[in-house]
Amino acid sequence: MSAVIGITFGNTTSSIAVATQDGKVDVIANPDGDRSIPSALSYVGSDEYHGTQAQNQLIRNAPNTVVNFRDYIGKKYEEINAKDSHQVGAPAIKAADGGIAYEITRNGNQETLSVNEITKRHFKQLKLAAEDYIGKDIEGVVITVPTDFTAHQREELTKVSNEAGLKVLQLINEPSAALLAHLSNEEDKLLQDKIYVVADFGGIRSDAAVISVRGGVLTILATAHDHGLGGSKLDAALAEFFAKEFEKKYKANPRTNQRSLAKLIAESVVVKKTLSNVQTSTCSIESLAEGFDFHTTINRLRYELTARQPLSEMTAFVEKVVTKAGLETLDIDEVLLVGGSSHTPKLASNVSFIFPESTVVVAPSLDSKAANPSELIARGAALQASLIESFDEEEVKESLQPVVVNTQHLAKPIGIKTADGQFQPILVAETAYPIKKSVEVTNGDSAAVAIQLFEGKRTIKETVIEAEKSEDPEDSEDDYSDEEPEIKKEVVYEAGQLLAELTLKDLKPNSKLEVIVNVTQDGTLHVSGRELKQGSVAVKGEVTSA
Amino acid sequence: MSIVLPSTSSSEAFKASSKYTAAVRRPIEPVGRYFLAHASRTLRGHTWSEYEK
Ligand SMILES: Nc1ncnc2c1ncn2[C@@H]1O[C@H](COP(=O)(O)OP(=O)(O)OP(=O)(O)O)[C@@H](O)[C@H]1O
Ligand SMILES: [Mg+2]
Repeated sequence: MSAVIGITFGNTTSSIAVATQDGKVDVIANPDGDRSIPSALSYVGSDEYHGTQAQNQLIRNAPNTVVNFRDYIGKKYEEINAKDSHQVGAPAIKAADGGIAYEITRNGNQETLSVNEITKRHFKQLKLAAEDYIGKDIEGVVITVPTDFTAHQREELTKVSNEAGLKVLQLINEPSAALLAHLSNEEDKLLQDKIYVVADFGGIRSDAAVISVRGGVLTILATAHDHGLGGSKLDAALAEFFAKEFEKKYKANPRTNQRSLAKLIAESVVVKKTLSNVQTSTCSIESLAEGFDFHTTINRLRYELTARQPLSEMTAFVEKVVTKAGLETLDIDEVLLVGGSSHTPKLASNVSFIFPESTVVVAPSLDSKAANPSELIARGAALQASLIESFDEEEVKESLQPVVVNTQHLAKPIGIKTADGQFQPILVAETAYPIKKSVEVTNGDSAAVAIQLFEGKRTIKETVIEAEKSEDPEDSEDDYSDEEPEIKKEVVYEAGQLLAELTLKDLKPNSKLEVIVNVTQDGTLHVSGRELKQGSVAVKGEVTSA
Repeated sequence: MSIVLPSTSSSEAFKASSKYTAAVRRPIEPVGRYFLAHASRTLRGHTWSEYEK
């Protein structure tokens, strides 16, 4: 027996997931019990440590501990900034081939490990964890990558994974995997035509994508990346806050020594995560500096003030990707918050603040039923793996050809005008074609009706919402003298350019009619209308593209 | 609530008025079952009805 799995491989953590027979997805815990497995390796004596155990070595054994290496795959040393603030543990060095490597000491001997070698070892550990948990061999994997991973990076990652014994079935984009998992959670959600923002806040980077979903097909409209903005910035802000407090109390500086700094950061991560769940947290570090222990408490509000800068940068980052897509926040139906840092309540509330009320922001602090943002990407990868499991390699490859993937998308919505002059969309903007859709309509009491096919025109409708009058006369006086009427904005499509007109006649009152719009591969739009009864003859016509 | 069409006195069965706005070419994401349906429609010209189930 064998299984296929999904893997998300981040600079900070990796996760493995497997889809079960009944369509559910399990995120796999490794032997340490972790589902978010730190992407870290550490060498002590002759032993190799992985995951949390390796991460913990950053305090005692930093020079032999390798972290944050994912983005270096397939890169030249010259292309990266090895002085990045997140450079902790073994420093990245230039490899003989111009790539990136790490020098570690194992059993007293110096060893140079290339990024590919480190990644291969990491993948072997993930494979072991997966096989241990599932009890089967792993036959194939779907791995997620950031949308700005180059073709060369994708090739290298595929090669390394295959060498580690994890045969790559497909590499897919992280935000698409996350959205696929989110949309597969609810029946029919995939078939609702909506525009999403997937905002992924990780450890050392932030990524966002605007994705339209049309007829279950996902299209990325824009992406944004910030290498450097992530949870580590929140840790650093908190660590600095604690360092100041410690310094004031003991007149000792915990920032001057590598080990003290590592202890401070490690505890800040714990405190930060605790504050995502509860309002206050203790912080205790033994022998932080010059032999002094450090014990204190901090509440969530204090933390949010301390980390205000990176938190507002993250919020602005989400706004930026919407602008990049040529859209306004009003156009976004849902924002899906992904990545470990998306557990942060203040981040979720800041993000929901920049969107209108009609936009749903999905995050655990806003909706207790929301999926774990740390798991969404791996879940999507597992779903995709089970979906393509039965296809052979050639079939998967064939489906990734440009002729399939590079698809035409409608620039504007296409629909019909109703009896009261409203525009009724049938195909929304950004729909990929070929596509076919139908709507059921009626003639009401007219014997002959027109099917008028229009392109929609985007307008913004403003509705003034009067402040509600309070029942209590005492309240009313001070409460609303200063209250401004709220203006609710929404995107409304009106009938714009008339494309074609069809006539259906000789109808009995309230007959059931059907309008079908079909855009074929070559861009020809076929429209037809007919009475929904046996033997009826359809009226048809064609519209071409400009 | 059903959609009611406007009445007409025209006797012309079909009349095209203008072209629709030129489409935008973008890559679609190769994930999910509706992508696979799209792929096999494009590659093998499968009909819609095979996926309407
Ligand atoms: N409950 C939590 N509350 C706040 N932050 C959290 C929580 N859980 C994890 N994090 C933070 O999330 C970050 C890791 O996110 P994730 O696992 O998505 O990283 P990644 O995809 O490997 O990121 P990158 O490649 O950006 O480094 C870390 O900074 C971690 O401290
Ligand atoms: Mg990530």
